[in-house]
Amino acid sequence: MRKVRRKFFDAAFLSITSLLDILTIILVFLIKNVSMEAQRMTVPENMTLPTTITNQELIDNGLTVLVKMYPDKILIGTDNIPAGNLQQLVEDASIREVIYNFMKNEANQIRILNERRGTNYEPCLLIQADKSIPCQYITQIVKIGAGASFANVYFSTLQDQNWLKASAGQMR
Amino acid sequence: MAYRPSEGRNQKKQSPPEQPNLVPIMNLFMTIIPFLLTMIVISQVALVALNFSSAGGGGGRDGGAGDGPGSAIEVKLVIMASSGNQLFPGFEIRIENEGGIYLRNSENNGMYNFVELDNVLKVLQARKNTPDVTLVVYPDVLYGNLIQTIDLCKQNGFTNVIYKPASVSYGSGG
Repeated sequence: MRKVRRKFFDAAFLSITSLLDILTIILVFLIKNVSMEAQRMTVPENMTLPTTITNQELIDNGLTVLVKMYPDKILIGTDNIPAGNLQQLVEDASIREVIYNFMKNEANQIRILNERRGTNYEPCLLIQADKSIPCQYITQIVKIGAGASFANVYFSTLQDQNWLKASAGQMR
Repeated sequence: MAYRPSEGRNQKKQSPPEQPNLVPIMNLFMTIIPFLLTMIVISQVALVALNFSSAGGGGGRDGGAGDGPGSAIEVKLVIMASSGNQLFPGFEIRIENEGGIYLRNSENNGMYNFVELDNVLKVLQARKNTPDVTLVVYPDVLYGNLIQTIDLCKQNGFTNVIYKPASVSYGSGG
């Protein structure tokens, strides 16, 4: 009986080079977005930011120092250093001093950086606060910031073009 | 006679060019990308800038909280501090050498009347054509309401918003 040999062709390779290219592009994009500076511009967990239509740009030569104000705690810097709570901010001078010293130190770091590199960076205070916080606490933080040489104050908000319309709906 | 071996014997069979092994790289990528994706919060975060005058009233920047020509229009946001006094929950808009405009909060839900404030600011901007506005804020006004008021001011051309906390004294009677 005659044996029939089947011909085996080489298995066709799926070219993953193009897929790799796409993944490389995505990776670069993601790494750029997950940089430390971008972290400052994201919404903190468990915080409801107020909504605005306006979206202003940070000044070109601005270096931000971050303060997060929750109803039950205050965190300063990108390392989220605890700095008491809102009540302590008003009543406890030592808490205000801790925040002031931190901000002053950050402002000095920026000044030293400017002297070393001949740059013209300006310290900016970026406040991320829950919308339910009374203004007196915000005022306290801004006052401390102003005392620590922060001339530029920014508030983080969520952009929503329709908040006014929504507000009109709720008024009815 | 012996012939030298044919050169063809040493020639290797032509094979397709070898592809580098991309599988480990792909594995790495497939781990990193979902990890980075989880770290990204997709939301449109905006910034609102502010001028902050000194709490004492005088000496503010850009015209500050003084009575110079920069503070021709003052939007005053008032909130009821306690019942039975002259404060009322809502907005009071003071215009230099003119009377005040009062916008009371909704009686239904106590919300600020931002729609009416928007309309008033539009009219004021058309009449006065000034970028300056001073915002006087009582301590118990919520931060969200403050930011939305600043937002409306900026939307209506009052780009130079000067923040001035109201000095409230709570008397013990009399």
